[in-house]
Amino acid sequence: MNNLEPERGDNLFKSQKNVLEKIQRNNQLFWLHFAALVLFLISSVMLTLLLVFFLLTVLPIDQLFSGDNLLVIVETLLLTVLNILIGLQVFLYGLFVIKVNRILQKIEQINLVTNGLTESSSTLYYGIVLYINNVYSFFSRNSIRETRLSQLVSSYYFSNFYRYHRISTLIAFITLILFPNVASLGVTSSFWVPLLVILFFMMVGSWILTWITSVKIKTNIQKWEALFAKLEAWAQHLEDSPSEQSIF
Amino acid sequence: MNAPYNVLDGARMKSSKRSKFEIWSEVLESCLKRPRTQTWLLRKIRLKTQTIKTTLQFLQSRDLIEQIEDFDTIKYLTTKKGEEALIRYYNLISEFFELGHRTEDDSF
Repeated sequence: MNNLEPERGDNLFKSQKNVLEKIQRNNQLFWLHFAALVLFLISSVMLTLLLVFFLLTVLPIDQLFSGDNLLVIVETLLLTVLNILIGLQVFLYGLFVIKVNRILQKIEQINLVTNGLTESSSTLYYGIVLYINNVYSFFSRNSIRETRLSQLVSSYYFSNFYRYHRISTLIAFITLILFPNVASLGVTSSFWVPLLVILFFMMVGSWILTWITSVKIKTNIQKWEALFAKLEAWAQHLEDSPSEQSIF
Repeated sequence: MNAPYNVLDGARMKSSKRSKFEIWSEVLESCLKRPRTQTWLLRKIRLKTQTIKTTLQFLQSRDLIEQIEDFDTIKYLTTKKGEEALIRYYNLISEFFELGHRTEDDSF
């Protein structure tokens, strides 16, 4: 079999290595965004549960819908909406991140196995195109291919990645602004205050991180839209090129 | 200029939901390291038999892959020209995956 293995040029190894390095860096950004989303969801769910607990036990029932307590109810409702939005985001985005990460791990594993656990300057990688195709099918506006509801929802989410994220960011912002007022209401116990403060800072930290990473991903998506058109032009060029000539 | 194949319809292959560039680049990359059989490609790239046949036929007609006989088995290997096309593909991607890098309009 080995005698059938062809000799490949240095340019190929270099370009593959270059793409792989950029893919790995890009994948770190995807993971960071996912981790921030999960952290945000956890703190938001814990906060909602805590507020519901306050509403049902700590705050007096007869004063539940009066004055300042209304703020706690509004905050709890906002947090519930936020939990649903972020939960959906974590689910859809998680599916994508896990899938592309698995492909990336496979690229590395296959090459470690086939190259005797060493990577040299002449290591050929297999699976880079698969990674790109998956990114394309998630982020390309033209890639809404299936009519199944789940696929339409995920296509909608990824093609409107930033717009969707902006809605949840706005709700998160209002929730965080309201939170110090809510925390000061009737919560005087020394046990609850540190817990609320920790949760609050966890939410703020993860929210800032999600926001920064989503802006970075948004800039990438805008660039990729132009890339997808170029890749289609690349295919068109292959189609139009006469067989005996060099392509590019 | 060569006549286009009937199965090629706009940006997508008629019998597949995938774009032409997705299929062609995947076949070219798969056949880079060593020759692959049609069945291997069929399983790895998950295409319909008709689509993989037409794809291989097309890539061969453009000298992007070559047919090799290995112990009575027909296998396909990416040619120098195919390698060149794939390098161009990788370079395009590298350009766009550069975080915070502005791209210029390239002409083919």
